[in-house]
Amino acid sequence: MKKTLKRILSCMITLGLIIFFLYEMSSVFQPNDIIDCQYRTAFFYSLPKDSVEVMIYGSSHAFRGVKPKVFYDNYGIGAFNFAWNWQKINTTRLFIEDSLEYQKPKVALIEAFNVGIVRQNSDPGAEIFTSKYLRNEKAKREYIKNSFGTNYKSYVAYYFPVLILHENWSSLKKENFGFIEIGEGYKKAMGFSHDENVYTISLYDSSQFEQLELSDLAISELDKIVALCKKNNIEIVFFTNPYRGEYNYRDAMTKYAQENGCYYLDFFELYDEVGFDGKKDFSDPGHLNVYGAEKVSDYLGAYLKENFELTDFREIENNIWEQNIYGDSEN
Amino acid sequence: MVFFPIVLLVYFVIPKKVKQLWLLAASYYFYMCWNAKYAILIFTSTAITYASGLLLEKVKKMEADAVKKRRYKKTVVALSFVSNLGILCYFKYANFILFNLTKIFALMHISLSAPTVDVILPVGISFYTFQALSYTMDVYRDEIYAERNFFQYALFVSFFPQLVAGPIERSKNLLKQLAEPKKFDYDMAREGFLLMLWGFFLKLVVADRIAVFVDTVYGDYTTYGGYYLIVATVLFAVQIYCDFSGYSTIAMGAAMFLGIRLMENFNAPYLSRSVGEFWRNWHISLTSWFKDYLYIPLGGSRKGTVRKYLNKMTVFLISGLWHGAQFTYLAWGGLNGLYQVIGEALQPVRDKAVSLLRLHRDSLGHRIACTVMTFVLVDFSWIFFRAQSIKDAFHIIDSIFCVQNPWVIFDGSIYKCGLDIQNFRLLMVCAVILLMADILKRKGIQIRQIILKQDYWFRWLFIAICVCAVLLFGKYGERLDSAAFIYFQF
Repeated sequence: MKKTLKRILSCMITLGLIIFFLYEMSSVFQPNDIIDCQYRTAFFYSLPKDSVEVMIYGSSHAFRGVKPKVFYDNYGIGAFNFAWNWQKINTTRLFIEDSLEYQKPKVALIEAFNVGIVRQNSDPGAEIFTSKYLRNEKAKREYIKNSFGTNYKSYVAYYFPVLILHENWSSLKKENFGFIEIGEGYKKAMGFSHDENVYTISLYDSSQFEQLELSDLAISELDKIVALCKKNNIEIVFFTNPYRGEYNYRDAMTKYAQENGCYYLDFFELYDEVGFDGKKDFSDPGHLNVYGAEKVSDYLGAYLKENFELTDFREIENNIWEQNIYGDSEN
Repeated sequence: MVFFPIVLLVYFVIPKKVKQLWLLAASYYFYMCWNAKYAILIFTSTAITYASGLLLEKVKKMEADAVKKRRYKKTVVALSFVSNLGILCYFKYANFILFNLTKIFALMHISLSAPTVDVILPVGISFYTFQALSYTMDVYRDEIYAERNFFQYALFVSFFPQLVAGPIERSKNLLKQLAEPKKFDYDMAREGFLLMLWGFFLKLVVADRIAVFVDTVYGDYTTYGGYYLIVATVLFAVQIYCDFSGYSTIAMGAAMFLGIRLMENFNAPYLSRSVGEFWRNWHISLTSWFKDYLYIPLGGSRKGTVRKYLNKMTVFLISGLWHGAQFTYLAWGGLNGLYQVIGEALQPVRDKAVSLLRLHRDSLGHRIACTVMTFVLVDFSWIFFRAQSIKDAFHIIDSIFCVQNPWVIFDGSIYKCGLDIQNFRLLMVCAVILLMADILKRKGIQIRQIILKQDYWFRWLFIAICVCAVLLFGKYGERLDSAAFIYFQF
């Protein structure tokens, strides 16, 4: 009996060691295309608590389409772009929940490109792995549970990414091991992705876009976002940036915003008013470049200034935008 | 992943009486995962050879003269062979035969529209057919008694760890072990685990990594000529060894968990100093099958030199065809047969040369030279094995000898064929580990026994690190369609 127990213990210890090593190894494995997100989130957490008045959330359409520097330069608005590629609406909710632990903004600008999609029973793609960089563990657990559902393989892959990302062993970098030095570039961008590439496009006629209803699940996610923001006295401005494609939720978002005391701006509709130029303002068929982003940001900045009581940070000496955007940070 | 632990767990929990049935059910389930309807083939093969065994036993007990009994016995064996090989030929060689018959008739200006047989090659058919036939032969030769328990015999033919890619077990070894269901043996299970770990290392870390490079180069040999092909051919020799011996080792390890010892299928073949020695250490279960059931019945070396050479060529040509219905396999087998015939025919000349040059056969230099020479010859034959057609094989050989581009090894071009420099470095480390393991194996030292004799903390750490290393450096998972074991197709 003693011998059997000893053997069982021996097997358990070996198994425990394997799991421990795998878990430790897993901490350095992540999809190569989200390492940038690690820098951006790390910079976000380094900002002084409750210092930002406008937070920007959403997918790459927001990440590459709203420039905080324009907000500051033109209107003195203190904003941070906390959007990231591919985000579905439940991922955006996670980013919102996480950021509110550190910042108490007056306005949340929420980009609504993927508003109709909620991640469910999914594989652990790069989008979900970005949650690893966030710090709100409770929100992360709920997000993971909702995203993976009963897809148990995904849980294993998420907590032991070495099992699906082990091919990356030959391209491990310093940052994979947690050595992050946030450069001036990240500070100046305040979360914005700067792209000067120019791609000529012509947009489709947005009045012809087929309009779809939001699913119950998507509405439920939006309701949770709205409730969370209301609880924190945050005004919500939903918006959609233009791209060469058909946006199907304009009517649904307009209706939802009206019914829930939010705002909604559709830049397909505002194309001429903003002064977009299909020959200059896009970096690819799906995204604005920096020139397009500056136009959107200028319009949004004026809109925010007009509709909300926001501090003019230009009047506050040595504010974080001054420190970071203009590179005179002592950090 | 789940199948094996469940089979093990249930096997050691259920009563002794039903253990065999459980393993049989698990084996058939395992086979049916590939193609359920082909279970009928393995069942047919089992039924025929089982009946042949009983009939042979009956004939032995008949009251008739020896000549008549012998004739009856031979008839039973012939029936078993014809029906089993008939099934094998239909599924594996029918299209090959029909296609080539059409071509031959076309050469004679006879137009023939031969039908094609629309079948998928059943996985492992060559393995279990040969295993079942060895049983018929063993009963015929009075080396074993016929098995009366049909379920036990069916388990012998379908035993899942070695069902689809060997080792081709002998009834003398496996049937006896299956007869007595085993209790869980902790020491054997530990040994089995280490064997499986080594097998996964060979397959996932080495073979599948090399496959990326070899597939790229051989898949476009007109672009990747010369030294690309030389490197790919050398690496293919390592790939096929690690792939096949990896599977055999995993099979051995899995069987050990069940308390069963399967035969060794490889014994450091690339350390051989002659092609003959290579074949005694490569795919031992098949080579010894051919020796016992084909070469010796053909007369072996007992009927003169010319007959011996003919027998060797016959065995190797059939061995080539056993691997697949293609002329490339036939050429590969023929070439290996030819190496041995020429080697033996030139033995006196070689002896004289050694004596004239005052070479010492036991010196390290001489041994290394022989090993390298053997590797080169064997590796050359692998070109035919790997190429898609004989024409391709000759193009590849032509490119190897005629295209001069040694710089591709030094200017980094070689690292643009699917494996970067880090992966090549990793392969170098693996090659050293493999070489050391093979040298120790030849010296009769079992690394797993050395590991198991170490202190508990070392064992725990060593195993945990090795498992993690295989998981880290292995080529597997959803991001990569792990190459199927090469020998599954045979």
